[in-house]
Amino acid sequence: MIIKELRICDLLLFTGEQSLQFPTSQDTNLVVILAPNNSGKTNIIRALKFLFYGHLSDCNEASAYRMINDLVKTKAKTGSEVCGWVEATLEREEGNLTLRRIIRVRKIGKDQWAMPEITLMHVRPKHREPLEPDDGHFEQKIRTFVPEQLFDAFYFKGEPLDGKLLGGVGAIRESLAAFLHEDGWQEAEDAAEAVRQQYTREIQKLTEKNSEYSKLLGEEELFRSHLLKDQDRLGKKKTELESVVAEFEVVNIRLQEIGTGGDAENLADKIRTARITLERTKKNYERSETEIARAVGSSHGIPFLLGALPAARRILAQMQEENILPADVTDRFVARVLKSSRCVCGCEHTPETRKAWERYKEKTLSLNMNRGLSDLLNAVQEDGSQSYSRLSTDLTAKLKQLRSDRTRFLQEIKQLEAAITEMEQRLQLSPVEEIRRSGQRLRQMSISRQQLQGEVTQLEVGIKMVQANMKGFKDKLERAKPSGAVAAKIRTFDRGRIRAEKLRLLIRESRETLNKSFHDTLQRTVSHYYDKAAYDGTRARIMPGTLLPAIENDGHVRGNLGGGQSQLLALAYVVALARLRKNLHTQMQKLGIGCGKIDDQSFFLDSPFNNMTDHYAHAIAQFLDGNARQVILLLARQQWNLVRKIIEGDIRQAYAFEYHTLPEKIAELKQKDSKLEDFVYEYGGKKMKLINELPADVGHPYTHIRALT
Amino acid sequence: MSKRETSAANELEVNSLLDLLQSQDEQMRSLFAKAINLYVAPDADQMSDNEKVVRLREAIEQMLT
Repeated sequence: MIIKELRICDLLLFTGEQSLQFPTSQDTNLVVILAPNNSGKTNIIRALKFLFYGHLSDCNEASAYRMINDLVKTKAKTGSEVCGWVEATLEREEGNLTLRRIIRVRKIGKDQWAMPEITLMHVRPKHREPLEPDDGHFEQKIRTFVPEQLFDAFYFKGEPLDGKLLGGVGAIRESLAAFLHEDGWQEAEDAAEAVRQQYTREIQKLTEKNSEYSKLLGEEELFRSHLLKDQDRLGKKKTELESVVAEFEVVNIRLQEIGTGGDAENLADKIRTARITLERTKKNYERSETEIARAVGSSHGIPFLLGALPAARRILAQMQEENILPADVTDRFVARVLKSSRCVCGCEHTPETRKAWERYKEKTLSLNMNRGLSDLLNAVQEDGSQSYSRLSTDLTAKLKQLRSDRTRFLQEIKQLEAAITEMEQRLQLSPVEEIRRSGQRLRQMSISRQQLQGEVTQLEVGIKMVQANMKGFKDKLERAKPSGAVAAKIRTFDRGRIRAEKLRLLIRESRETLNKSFHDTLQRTVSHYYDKAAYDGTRARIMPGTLLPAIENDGHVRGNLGGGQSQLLALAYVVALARLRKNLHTQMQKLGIGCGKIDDQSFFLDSPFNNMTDHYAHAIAQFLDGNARQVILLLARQQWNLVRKIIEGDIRQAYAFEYHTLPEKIAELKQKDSKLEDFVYEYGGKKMKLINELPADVGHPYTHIRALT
Repeated sequence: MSKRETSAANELEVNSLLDLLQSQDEQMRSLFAKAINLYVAPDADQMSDNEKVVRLREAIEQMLT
């Protein structure tokens, strides 16, 4: 569905009537809406959803009054009615179609609102008036154009699409089922079976009195129900088998491509050597730790004593001053001096000299003191046999060496570990490792293939046996069938039964054929879009069972990759789906099946360049610009700056959302961004600021849509 | 990436389905289209399931006459 114009009046952040025109005349029509955060980017998507379906996931009928612009609601007086609307003009082959969704609500008290009235109106062309209420016809049309399950894929609100597509099966699988009308085909098949059973029951009723025929018919039905179940199982197993065979082929081809090892073998050798060195270095490190502990243990606290040595030296110096240091003199020598009338200096003894000699004898020559002082002197002397200083110097030198060794070993360990990690990563990416992993995968798949093949063969044999039995039943039934008028009626019902069964089988086969064809084309289309842009060698893959996309690398399906690949894949997938959907409906019409005509699809993408590398942002910008007829990008400044140079020249129309907000909000924003640069956008070589203070008489933020030329 | 590419890569090929249907007789093709249309047409929801089965049976019986 291509949108030519969107008009909004008094809805969400938009006051008064405002509009956006979208050009549609070219093959690709790119529109950019530059909008700061919180200025209403998401509001546009919400308004569209409200227009299409009349409700939003976070807004039920009773709370829908919230959709109306706050300013309008504030001005409303109790008892008065307010309204807001969103209107779109859709491009149709038979002429443009304009639809408007209106919400009206009466104010019944302060912050109290009656139940809103929500209506869809058909707007007459040219004068846009009068409005005609929709009787359900246009509601139905919109749901055909864009089934609600698909809305979030075509009009998405900033969150990465990859999670929805690559992780979850639910919504998109349902959407795909809707694409292919799987339910409808299944229901048609079931209906054919129901008709067949009706005929069978009618035949049973007619032949109640013929117990043999009736019994045979009952048994035939029983066999048939088993047969159908087995056929179902066979179908599923065959799909599984096809999937395994396809994957086997992919891995096998990849193996042929990568050939043999080469550098990777050297890399593996280097890793082995590095691991041996690492182990040795770790042991050295542990040894140095042990030696450090041992050295510290054997010091007997010398490092602590060393701290006390300076003080000890001072005390000894004082003692030296006082002449109470140990000397070579003995007790006997002092006794002789004291007995003599003269001192050793030759002068006559005085009481003071005698007292000094007595003191010397008592203090300096006491055994304990002398021994203690001798030890102390020994300890503080650098060259003594028991010198603590020397011991300490030796110990310090040893510890220094040990610590240096330990640091070196630790550094070596870190370097080796980093080198091994880096080499392992290279090896992971290297052909040898890939060959190893692929070989493993091939073996697993080979086992699965054999198992599945066995199950398929078993089911096929079983089915053939049941079919043979049923053929026997047919012959027996033919022989036992009643004659006369009843026989004629049975013949008619039986023909109906056969025709219904044939129809059932044809529907089933057609559905399987269509699914396979759709898968193949989807694979081709998504690969066509994705594989060119993915610079890292990854490829798009559509899973055969679920028709969901995945990223494949080296023959392996990868998880949710970051950096933008997943978003590129998701967008490629969504765009491919939209195009195939249109194509499918056209083809079905050719086959006489009226699925309704589907037009080109428009894409409204709010911030599609979140969390990705520049490369993928550029790849996505180029992809969107070239592959969809209508793309409307809603971008905040950062994303606009990322892709501006790539897309600016191709933009057919640009708009800016000017956000008007409270002065206190602006002051708050200025605290983080003093010049409000987040609100400055460059377009067409000019800069513009997309934030303004509210006028004095306006109390609620609002957004003004400005067309850029 | 080049601008909008109109490569055959984008086109859904239903030749195999077409071949399958072409191999049926005209009556069967018509019955098939009727059956599918009953369930996939845009207004398919407006008819009850029972009514659809009745219509399908009528279509089958028309073929038998």
